[in-house]
Amino acid sequence: MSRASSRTERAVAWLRAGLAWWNGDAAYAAFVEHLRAHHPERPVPSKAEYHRAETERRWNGVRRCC
Amino acid sequence: MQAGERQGGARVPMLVWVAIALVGASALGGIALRRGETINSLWFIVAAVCVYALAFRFYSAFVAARVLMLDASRATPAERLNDGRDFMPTNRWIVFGHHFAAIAGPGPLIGPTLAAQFGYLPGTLWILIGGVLGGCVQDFIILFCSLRRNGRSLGQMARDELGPLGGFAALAAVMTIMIILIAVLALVVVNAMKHSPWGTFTVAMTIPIALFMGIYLRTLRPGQVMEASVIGVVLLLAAVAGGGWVDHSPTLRVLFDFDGPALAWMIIGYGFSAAVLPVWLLLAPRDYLSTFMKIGTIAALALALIVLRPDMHMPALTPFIDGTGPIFAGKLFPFVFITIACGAISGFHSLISSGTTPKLLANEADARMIGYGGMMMESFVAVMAMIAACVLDPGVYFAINSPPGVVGADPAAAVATISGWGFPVTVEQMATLAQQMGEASLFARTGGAPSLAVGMANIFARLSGDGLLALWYHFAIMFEALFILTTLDAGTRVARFMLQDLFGNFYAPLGRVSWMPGVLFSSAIVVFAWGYFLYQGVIDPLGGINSLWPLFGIANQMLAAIALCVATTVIVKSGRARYAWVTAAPLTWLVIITTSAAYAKLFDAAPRIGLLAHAADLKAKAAAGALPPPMVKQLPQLLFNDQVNAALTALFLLLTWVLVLDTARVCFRALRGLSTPPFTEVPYVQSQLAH
Repeated sequence: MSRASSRTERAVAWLRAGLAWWNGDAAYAAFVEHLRAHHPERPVPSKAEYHRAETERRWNGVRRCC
Repeated sequence: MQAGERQGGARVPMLVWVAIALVGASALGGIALRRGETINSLWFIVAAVCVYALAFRFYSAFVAARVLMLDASRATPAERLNDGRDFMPTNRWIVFGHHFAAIAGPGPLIGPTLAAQFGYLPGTLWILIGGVLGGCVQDFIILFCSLRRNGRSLGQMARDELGPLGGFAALAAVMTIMIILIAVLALVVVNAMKHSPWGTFTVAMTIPIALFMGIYLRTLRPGQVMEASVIGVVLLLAAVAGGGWVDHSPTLRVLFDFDGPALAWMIIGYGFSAAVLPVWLLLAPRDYLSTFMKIGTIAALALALIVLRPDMHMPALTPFIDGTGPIFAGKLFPFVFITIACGAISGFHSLISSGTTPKLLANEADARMIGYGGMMMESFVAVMAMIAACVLDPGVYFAINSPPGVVGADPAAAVATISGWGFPVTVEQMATLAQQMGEASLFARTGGAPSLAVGMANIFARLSGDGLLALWYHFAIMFEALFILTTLDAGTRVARFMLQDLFGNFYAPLGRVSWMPGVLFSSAIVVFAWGYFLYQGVIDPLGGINSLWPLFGIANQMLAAIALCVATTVIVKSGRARYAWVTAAPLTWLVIITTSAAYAKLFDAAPRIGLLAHAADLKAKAAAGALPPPMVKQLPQLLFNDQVNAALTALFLLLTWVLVLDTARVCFRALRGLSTPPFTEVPYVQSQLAH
């Protein structure tokens, strides 16, 4: 019983992590965590600000191939 | 075997690997020796999977352990330079997804489709062998080199390890390949949309859908990428169905019915807008959509092939290995190796392997799975494209892909010519097929996209029934156009940045990416450059693919040669010259094929192969009054096109050889202990991440 429920929990956690990766939550959370840990003096951007800056930055190089 | 065993070989007993080797060998033997009417596609899937499994388990393990000496305890750039954005240790499966989505574009779908004119055997063997010994090795080693150099780009590594000449050659190669690549891909889209209101409507709708997603992500629900992507995909599917409705309406269909030149101008206009508009509005949302569709459709195709195991009708070898093929001219050697670049070895990948990917890897040891494994996946996509092309009746395949300049513009003449080659096809058969697919005609739809779409529609329709053939066909066209246009707009933008970088050396404001006149000026130059080749292809009576695709193949293989030059230099300088054959062998092969192909394109006496012979032939025909009137008017332009293409081919040849000789010089000096540009590997730092 407990083994089965822990398996379900793990599956749900895995699914959540996948979704967070897809919708950009994971990248945002990781960035905020990085800022807090390494640059506590810097302001933490909102998700919208982060997404805006990321979109600009990501397209400044070769992103797609033939 | 020792190196392999250390890499966790205990998990799968050696006996299993022997069994895989036996199954793979029999599948390959079956493919090579089968001379019946048809062959089942399962043979190809089994052979491919066994080859990849063995190559990954043994060869990539050897390269990882002996040649590169990957060290999991060494901190990666993502760990050392972690800035939370560009450099960030990321889960390896996520990096794998990013990397695969970045390397796999339309190339591995189109190349094998065109190369099927030689039969299924040469292309399939080259995809498998070239993949595991060439492409996978290149992607893996360049990723490794960049990992050990703080994520530096191929151009920077060429300059550092070889010297300024190498750096310049790499830059020039990247720039020209970008231009040719965009032109040839745009030509594929134009040919797919030509006089196809359904296709044109569906592809056109991807633009407003992307704009809507861009605004949604910017203002309505900032950053909710998944939500926006799901909405986008639903709208896309609606656009595919809506295209059918447009096609059936006599008033609406004329609004989306265009000829080649008109479509070329529209794509040129689109490319320019995409390069100057803010990325959030068009490029980024398009890319989300195209990644979604790409992964989904490729997975669906793999599943459908495994479940349905369709029979393939193309012979193992066709008579066209002698160089008389209608789709592109040129003998089996070297042109099968030029036509299939992506899927076997593609130089463009080295830009991705030295771009975003090395900045995300948390563990150096994962370079093997991501670099080598990612390319294996792409190679498998190429095998699937080959299957989809060979599932078609060969007569139908040639009728769709042969340009009117070779088989005749009139359907009756075309089927007579093609049937005369021993591939029977009738006008009625083609008319029924076109009607089933919801198209006016499928004759002379060169470029590979329509025939791949017919193949995919045939496969998918076995699951859904023939009633949905037209829907599947246009879904496949939309899917191809979607990521071709993504490559087109992203490529135009990158080329613009590179040009601005270059111009900035002469006049500083031109280098600023935010100065509008500079942006407009450099975008216009880039778009003009590929627009020129696109237009040339559209008006070419031989269909454009015949001249542009080999040019693209040569350029792409040349870039691969440059990447392998850098890789060989790094291996030699690191003191492991006895293993330099790992990159030197594929490099030698690439130099042989690019040199022979470039030589044939320049000097072959057959007008369909040799560019100079083609120009001379046109002149002679014009002097004798043997040219049809529309071609007389275009004569000066046609002659000029031949000269431009010849000059470009000569430039490719020159760049390749300059770089190869420079590599030989640097390696020789390194072996003799003479001075060379310094070895730029970043010193060892112990990783603090628990793996």
